[in-house]
Amino acid sequence: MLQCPFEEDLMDAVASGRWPHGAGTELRHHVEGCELCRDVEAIAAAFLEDRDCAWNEAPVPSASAVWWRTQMRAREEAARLAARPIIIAQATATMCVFAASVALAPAAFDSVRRWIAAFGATASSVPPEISLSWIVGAAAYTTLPLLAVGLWLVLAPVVVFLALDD
Amino acid sequence: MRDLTLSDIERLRTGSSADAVPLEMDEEAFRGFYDRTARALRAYLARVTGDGALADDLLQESYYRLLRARGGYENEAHRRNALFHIATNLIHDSRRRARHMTPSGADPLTLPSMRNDAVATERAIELRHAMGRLKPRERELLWLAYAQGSSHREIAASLGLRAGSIKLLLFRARRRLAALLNGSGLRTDERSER
Repeated sequence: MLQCPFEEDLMDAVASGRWPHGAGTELRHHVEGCELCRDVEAIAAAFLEDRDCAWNEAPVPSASAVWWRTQMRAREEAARLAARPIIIAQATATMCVFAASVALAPAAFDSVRRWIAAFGATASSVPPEISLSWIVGAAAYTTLPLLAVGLWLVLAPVVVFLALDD
Repeated sequence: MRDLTLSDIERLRTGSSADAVPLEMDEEAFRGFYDRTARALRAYLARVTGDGALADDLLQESYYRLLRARGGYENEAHRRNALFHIATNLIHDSRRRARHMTPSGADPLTLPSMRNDAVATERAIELRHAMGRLKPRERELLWLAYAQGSSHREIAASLGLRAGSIKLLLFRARRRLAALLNGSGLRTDERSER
């Protein structure tokens, strides 16, 4: 047997302060002979006393304070959730710019080489032997950043449109 | 959920919006519910964790999660059980974190909080010592059953267990605690005389 039918009566008696002297004789006799009820009796009063201690030992914050903190946190969370698409759009745009830069780099390299060649035919400042590293350096300093800025200018209005769209 | 504009987001951040974020209940209902449950929940958290400061943190977190959950609770008892269920899960989470963060291997939850011994009776102090030697699940079961007087069904709902298993679990926990209390010198017949 895991639970005694008298347990509830015993709990009531302890909780109401009637145990042991105010409780009925039958219940007292039963508890003396019932191992389960003796366990309950051993712990029930201690629990009720400790509960009273616990209730009084520390004040709980006011309902208003908890409500206010909850509202603040809920707002922050809502703002964070709402801002997530914007962050995703920005990250996507950045990735697009990077990918486009990588994809267009060979074409840019060719055009720069042609431009350097044409320029080299007329300008004396260009070194007589145009090395690959010189061309790559020139492209890195001019074409790729311009390309990135151009793509960003194209994508930024799209991002703003998505963010402002209701 | 409605899409938000940048200005909505800004209003949410600054808290200047007249519209509150929708929660599980309105402020007035929350105040009533909080006043009826906060002390009991704080006592439960403090005794099961053995840490008053942690209990305060978990109290706030429990209400926050309840309000954000919007669970559509049928009645107050249902909501109350959900609150204690949330609190119990938070206790388990904090215990797992504490286990990871305690290099010595000591379990802080088994260390009873004795800060308020002065106001506690001898019997309550012995109970706390004994409770500190029980498993967290046993502490939860016993506190809900004997300090709060919860029914088996309520305990099951609060702890996320099957109602049918509560009787056996409670029986075992009660036996262990009674043995610990009797072993600590607090005899049943002595208590009867008090």
